[in-house]
Amino acid sequence: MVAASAVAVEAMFAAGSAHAAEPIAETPTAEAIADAPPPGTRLLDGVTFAGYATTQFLIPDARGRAAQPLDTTVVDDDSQSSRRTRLDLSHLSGIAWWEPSPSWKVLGEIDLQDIVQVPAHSNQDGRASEPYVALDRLYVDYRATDTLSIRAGKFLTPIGHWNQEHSDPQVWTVLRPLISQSAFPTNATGVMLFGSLPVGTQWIDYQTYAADGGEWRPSPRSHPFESAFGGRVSTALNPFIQVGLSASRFQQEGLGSSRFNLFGADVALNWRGAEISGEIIKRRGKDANVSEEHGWFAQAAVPVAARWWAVARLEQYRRAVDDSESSTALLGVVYRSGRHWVFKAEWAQASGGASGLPSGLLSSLTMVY
Amino acid sequence: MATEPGGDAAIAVVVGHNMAPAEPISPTIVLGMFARKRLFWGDHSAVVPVNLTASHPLRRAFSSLVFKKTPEQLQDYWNDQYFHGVLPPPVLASEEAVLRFVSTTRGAIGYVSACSVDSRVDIVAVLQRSDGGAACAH
Repeated sequence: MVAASAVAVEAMFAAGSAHAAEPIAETPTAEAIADAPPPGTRLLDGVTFAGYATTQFLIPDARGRAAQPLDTTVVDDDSQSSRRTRLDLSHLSGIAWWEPSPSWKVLGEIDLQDIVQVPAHSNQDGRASEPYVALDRLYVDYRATDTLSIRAGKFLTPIGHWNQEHSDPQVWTVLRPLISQSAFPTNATGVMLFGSLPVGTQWIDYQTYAADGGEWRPSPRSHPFESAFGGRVSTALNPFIQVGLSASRFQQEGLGSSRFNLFGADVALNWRGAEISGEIIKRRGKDANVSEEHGWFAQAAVPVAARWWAVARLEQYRRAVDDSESSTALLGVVYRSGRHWVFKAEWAQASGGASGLPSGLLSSLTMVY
Repeated sequence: MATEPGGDAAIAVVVGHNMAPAEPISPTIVLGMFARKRLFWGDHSAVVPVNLTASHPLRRAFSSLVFKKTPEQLQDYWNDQYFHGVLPPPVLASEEAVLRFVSTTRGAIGYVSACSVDSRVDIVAVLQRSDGGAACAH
């Protein structure tokens, strides 16, 4: 739209309208307010490039349980589960979108993960880091109307708030809650219908999707959807409270014929720079003993000084892969420097029967570009 | 004009004369347009919202009336939208710049003090300021 607007201003001069004789003192520019997102980089006409890079410095709790092989079905980011102190250039993400017209949009995101570790061979089992190019998103949107858009391709699974807003600059913690990634594949390749509807003084956003296998470039650490059908609705109850509900029915590749039903709810309260949020999820299959996962987290981020926030989170989770109940408590700080830098440092303490959950000091530095 | 301008303290949401459908719209639709949820006018032409700079008193009053938040409090929303390829409306530094822009840009929508409205634009919504905002200087 910025480009379209600038073009329109230029066109005004050419059109020789009643005011064309007077020079326009200003043309629209990107929002320059502190903390506004960076405007991205214009590569070609209608193409914008953005992204972020994250370095993590991790000091695992040496008093914790000895490192155990972590079932790779549990989390995407198992590099955080190693018991070895290390510096890790963990994410180099590039997002590009192209809007050839207001009705069409193409968006892709590639995330280069685990690029460099220092010292080398500090992964959980002594392996060297293995750089991996993840395809997070690649889709085409067609906006038929304001209330109905069609998306085709690979997208983030619309379950809960965290999974769709999970990138490092958007979240308050280095450690990602289990409930945002364990009970369902975080990406889906298929078709989505979505839109926004005005209701009263607010807007309701909805997303409904279907996938039938054929995941594009699935992560080797995941079990992608074999089939899926689900939806999510979210809205603001007032200017400060957002709520969302998610439901899905799906099968995953490599997990037999189990068909899961999943329900989730999320809420976020934002007030005077503080954010209190939480999510709850429950997944059941036909064999409840081996397929049920459920859990919740509650998190608070409170401003404590200029650009500094204190963060606390408590999470409880019952996961099926090792039939365990676990909880993780987390305390940390976050520093947000205007548009481009986010520093996080936190202490996480896992307890309970689950193996391989990260404990110790986790910190990260993220640059948005 | 589609809507009466209201008192001096009111904020007029405006489109260029013959540049966009001059149909009255509700504050909720205004919110949707400036939050980039409502992307099309009724004739399916693109909505091109334009803001005043964040420090401009009228921008702050508009943000408070429409979003019930300051421009700064909206940045979490825009930071999330950024990663979905949605950028906030671009900004202009003065009401006159807004009038010139919307009056010459198809689909553009902006806001000015009600007393700044002239024949270049049509009013599509009027927001009554509760803070008794400053009247026009002229």
